Amino acid sequence: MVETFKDFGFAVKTAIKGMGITLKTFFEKPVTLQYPEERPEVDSRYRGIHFLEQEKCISCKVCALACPVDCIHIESELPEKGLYDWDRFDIDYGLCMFCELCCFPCPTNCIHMGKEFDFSRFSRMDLVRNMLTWEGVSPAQKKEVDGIAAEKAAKKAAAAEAKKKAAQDEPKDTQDEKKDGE
Amino acid sequence: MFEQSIILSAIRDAIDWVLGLVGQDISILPLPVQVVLCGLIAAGGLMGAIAFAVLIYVWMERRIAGRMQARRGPNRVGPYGLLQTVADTFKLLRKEDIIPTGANRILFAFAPMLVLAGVVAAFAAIPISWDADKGEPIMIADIDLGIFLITAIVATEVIGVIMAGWASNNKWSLYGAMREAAQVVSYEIPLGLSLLVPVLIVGDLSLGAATEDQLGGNWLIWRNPFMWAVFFIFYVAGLANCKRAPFDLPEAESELVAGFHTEYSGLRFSFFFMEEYASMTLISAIGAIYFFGAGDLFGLQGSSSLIMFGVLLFKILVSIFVMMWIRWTLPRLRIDQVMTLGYKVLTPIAFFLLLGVTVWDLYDLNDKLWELFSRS
Amino acid sequence: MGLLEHSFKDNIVTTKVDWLLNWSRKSSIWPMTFGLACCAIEMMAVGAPKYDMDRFGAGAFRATPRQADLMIVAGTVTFKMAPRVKRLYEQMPDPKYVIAMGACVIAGGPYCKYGYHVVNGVDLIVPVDVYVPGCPPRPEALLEGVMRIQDKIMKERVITHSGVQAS
Repeated sequence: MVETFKDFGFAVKTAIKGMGITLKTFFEKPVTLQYPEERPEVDSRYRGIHFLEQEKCISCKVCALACPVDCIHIESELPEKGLYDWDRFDIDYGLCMFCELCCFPCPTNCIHMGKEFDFSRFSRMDLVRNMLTWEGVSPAQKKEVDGIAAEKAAKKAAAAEAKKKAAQDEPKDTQDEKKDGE
Repeated sequence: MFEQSIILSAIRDAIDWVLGLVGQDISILPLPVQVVLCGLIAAGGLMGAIAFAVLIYVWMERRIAGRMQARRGPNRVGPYGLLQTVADTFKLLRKEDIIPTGANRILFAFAPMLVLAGVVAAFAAIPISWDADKGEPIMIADIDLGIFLITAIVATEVIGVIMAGWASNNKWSLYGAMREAAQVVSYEIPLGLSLLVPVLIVGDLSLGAATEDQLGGNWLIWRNPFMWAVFFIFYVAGLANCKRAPFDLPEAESELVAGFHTEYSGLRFSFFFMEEYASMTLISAIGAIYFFGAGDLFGLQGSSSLIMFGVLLFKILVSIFVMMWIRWTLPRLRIDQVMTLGYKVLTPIAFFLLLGVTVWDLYDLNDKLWELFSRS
Repeated sequence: MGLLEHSFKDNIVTTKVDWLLNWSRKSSIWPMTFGLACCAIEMMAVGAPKYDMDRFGAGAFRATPRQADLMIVAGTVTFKMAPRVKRLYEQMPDPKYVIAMGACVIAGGPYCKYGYHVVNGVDLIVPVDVYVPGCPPRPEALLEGVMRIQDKIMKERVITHSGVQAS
């Protein structure tokens, strides 16, 4: 009985102490960050949505290999050494676990973790984010690549021309051969 | 019938006036019809007032909870989040109404209404103000057995809760209901005993008489040295009776999913929600009337019944603020601790206080002590 | 409301009623107290002072699915847990919404390749309204997800129909 009353007295004492603390908090300023209006400053080493420096990227696909969940998809053509024809550099944020393992092996240090974090989407397909700033060939290298392409096309055209000419030169032979074959 | 109640006779006068517009008189209606009509209108008004009060309380609760936890609480829905509860209400109205398979459909539908009706009916015997001209309390029914009726009617709530718990066909619901029964029944004892003390001093069971007795700053809380302790016991037992934290074991979220209203959704759930706040108001009103002088402000309020109503409302709001303050501070008790507190602590103390007050009044110690001090 | 649902043409009254109902639903999305793994810690942070989900009226975490509007699937859904998740979703009364929070819930996350025990995407078992990527997402990202849910709710039609009457 005495124990019970002692406990009761202790409970009342501690309850009053606790209520003092909440009352103090009641009159203090709230610490809430009103999110959509006030945005937080994330840490300098925060791992958010990636960003890609496409000029530096050499399309070696080491990041895609390093990715533990295979969420990086890269497709590009290499028309000539040092020139890239980009088809695809997608990161599937439905899978990505922001581990930063893709950033370490990059030989040119071109993929980084950004500071962006709000990427809510209504559909799982929309979570696949296209990291490319340009598709196809880089605007800076466009001329060069076009030049190479034109050269190639010219070569091809010339070759075709030559072939045509050759074909025109000896049309009868082939016809004869065909006849022979029959 | 109408002589006993200022509100009912005012409603009858209003009906009389409306009938007068079509050239008729109230006397064309037989007396039973008059009584039922006036009673229905009063009940509707009471229900509306409580629903409106709950809107305010829930907003208050969420804002106060926010500030006590150093956050802001709802502030996007309307100015200062004032429309928050309105939005909640409309949403609950539109929610799908689920009755689980295997539930007892009749009891399941009936339980929320019974729970709410018990508490709302008790408000009929609460005097909301004082009419100085007539010398009568303003209330719906000035019943001689006022506080007895209130404690009896509020006890029907337990039946409703057990009904809800049983009808849900869910073990958590049943656990919650059994806890509610154990808790409320055991806390009725200290509650009743602590209410007996003011009744003893006033010498009348009617709350109207208590209002009259305390006019002019003569509050019951000052009458003798035991009253603060009595009020403390009343408040703790009242908290346990309206299932507020730290005594919210019937709906303990961490143990029983949501207690007796686990299976209730939408509107039916909102009835339980309203019941909790209505019983909080009831306990606060009884506390204000029986200990803190009802609508009296040391006689400063004059003879205006409207100001007295405002003062009573202010006292109720302060009491409700304290309830919310307690809820957002103290952790929930364990069920055995609750029962220990009820039977081993509050009940003996309440008995002792009742005895003390009786002896104090019997030998008129107030006057004797006053003489002793003034002589020396 | 079941009888009146989608049974009116657009006019000034019905669209206002629609707006009111959508607004009320949008302003009080009660989530379910339900966390499966580490994302749940971040979900708790959303209810805590710094981020405070209650500002949107979405802070009343209900313990029972019967009173909840929003299920935040926060954490790895294992094959053992999947039937429970589905059951909880089915126990929620309409209208109900689901947020898939974190990589594990969206597509299996770290377990998607070699995990023998993880459901590769909770959308295989319950319909998901909003996907919040991250591992785990920041609390702000979850708030963003809740705001997307609000956008989605505001576009819904409750008593009006979109011209094509369902039979």
